[in-house]
Amino acid sequence: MGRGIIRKFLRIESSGTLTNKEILKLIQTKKLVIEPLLEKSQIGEISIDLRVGTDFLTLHQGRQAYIDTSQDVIKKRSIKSHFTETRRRVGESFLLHPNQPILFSTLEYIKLPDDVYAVLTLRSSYSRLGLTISTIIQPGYCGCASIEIVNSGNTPIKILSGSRLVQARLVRLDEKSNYFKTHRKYTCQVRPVPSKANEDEELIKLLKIKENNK
Amino acid sequence: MNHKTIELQLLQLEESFSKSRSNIYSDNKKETHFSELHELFSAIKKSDYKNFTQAELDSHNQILNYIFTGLEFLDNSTLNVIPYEIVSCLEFALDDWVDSSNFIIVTSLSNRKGDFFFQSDNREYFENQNIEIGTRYNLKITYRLIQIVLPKVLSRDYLSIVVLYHELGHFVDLELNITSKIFYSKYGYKLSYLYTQLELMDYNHSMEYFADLFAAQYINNASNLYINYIAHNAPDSYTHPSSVKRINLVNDFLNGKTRTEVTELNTALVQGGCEQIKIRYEHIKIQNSDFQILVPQKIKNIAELHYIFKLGWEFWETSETNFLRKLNPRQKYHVINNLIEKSISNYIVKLRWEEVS
Amino acid sequence: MYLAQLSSLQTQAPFYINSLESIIHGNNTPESKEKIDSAISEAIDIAKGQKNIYSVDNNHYFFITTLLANYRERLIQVEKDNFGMVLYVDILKIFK
Repeated sequence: MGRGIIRKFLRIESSGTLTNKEILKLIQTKKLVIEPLLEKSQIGEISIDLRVGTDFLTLHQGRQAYIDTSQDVIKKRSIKSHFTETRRRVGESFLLHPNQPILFSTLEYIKLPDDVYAVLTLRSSYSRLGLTISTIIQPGYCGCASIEIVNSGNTPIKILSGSRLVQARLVRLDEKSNYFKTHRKYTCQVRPVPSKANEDEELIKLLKIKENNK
Repeated sequence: MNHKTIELQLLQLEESFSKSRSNIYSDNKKETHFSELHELFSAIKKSDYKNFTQAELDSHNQILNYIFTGLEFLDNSTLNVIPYEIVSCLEFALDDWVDSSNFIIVTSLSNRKGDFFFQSDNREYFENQNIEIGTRYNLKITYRLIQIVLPKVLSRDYLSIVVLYHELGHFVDLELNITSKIFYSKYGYKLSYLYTQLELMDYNHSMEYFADLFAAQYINNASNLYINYIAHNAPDSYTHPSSVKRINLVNDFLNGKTRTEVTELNTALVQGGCEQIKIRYEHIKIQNSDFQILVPQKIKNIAELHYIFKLGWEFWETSETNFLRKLNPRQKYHVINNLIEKSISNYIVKLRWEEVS
Repeated sequence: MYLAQLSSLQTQAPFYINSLESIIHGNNTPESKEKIDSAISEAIDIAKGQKNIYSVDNNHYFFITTLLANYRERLIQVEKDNFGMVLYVDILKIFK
């Protein structure tokens, strides 16, 4: 409690989940950006409802039996080609077939402060249908959040572009991070992006180790 | 041409209809158009075409070709990856000049990098066709189709897509017959082979100037910036004025300088009861832009919406010194295009949301 | 980069030919005759210098400009109140 009083006195914000008041203050001071925010009611007591965007990636079976994430040579087709792009306008529906992974992005473009990250989950009414998501948005992130969703039920589920599918809980860290300092693969994305695992520097290292072992 | 031609066309159309993707149009207007095309086809099939006069055969040949083209447009339209953002902007611009609710815009993505164009039927043709099918079959076609073709690889490149505003300018010109009227006014009414090459070249140049000015109303000089990239220092040709002339005309227009080309066009427009060429964008200051903090631009109105492309160009041209300077070229390109796309999308979504609230 | 107009001016001629033939054979609808007559009147006004091309009805643009290119001298002599059959026959020849 003493620490809390000292923090308040020195105006140091405490870490932990952000409340409605804190969220609104960050939006007002443009440290947190959520655009478009179609309804104020999207901002709840400790979470923000986010909507399904207009762009979808459907994983489809390519000619290869598996997706090779170990190399990104032009000869091997890139991960992007395993996904089919589809667009919808707000209000139009998209069908989630059982066991077919889909990537979508939030309708909202989000900019997080350098010391806040977001945990994205499904709103409860949807998770009961057998849909699952789990995503973390890094501090300082700029862009629409890319979310993978899988229908683990037996029946196709129809979702509408623009519907409030996702819930974001914002959490403040003790220290700031610097999003653009570390080499970031993602730049102000506004559509869902497939995994960029191929480009991961670590994979290059692993391949080198494999070479050296010979 | 005899009735066998009509018979063959009918059989080919039968095939086209059966293969058509008629059941997945999410757009009411497209569905209506498809039904109307089919109804017209059925009516012609049942008609006594074997006893048509030559003129009736000719007109029905045109009508059947029209149906073919309509089906082709609807079928080739990119249902799943429509570039809504640019189409919305073009629809707003079109609406300033004609009633865009009478049109269906479909887009088609081409495999060729230079393919930016519009295709549509002519207004007079459409009206006359409706009179004919109204009289004969008590039918009519409600909407006119416009097909916008753009290169697949550039469908999310908002720096190059600005060219479509220029193409829209050509469409509006042909719709209102503006440069054609000026041509007749200058050179008189003659049989086409009696005009000189110089006179026809003047006509071609006039069309290009109109399209350039039309675009400039909305996107400032963004269209010229792109043209400069791909046709830098092009000289006068039979079809186009030199790049320098085009750039200078647009710059003079934007700076409010009087130019005879603009005056001439506006005289023709005003006397035809049409809108005038004038500035239709609202400036967004680059220093105050939301792009600087890596978020989409909050757009206040349609005039600002059109300016977003020019804003994107300004950031691109100064990307070595502005907030993008630390990013590599690929990232810069993606950031600018993504932010433009999302700025447009946010504006449209909010507009539609408010309309139904 | 170009604008492709699908229907060239040639494709419109058949419709006008049909309308004119109906008028000549006396089996036209009142509306179609009205439209043709109005277009001919406009062409006459322009030929006589009483109207300029800019305000012409765009729904008859091809018709009017074709008449002007082929028939201007004759149009100047036509009286607007009464178009004789000869006029329609002559115009039909132009479009054929």
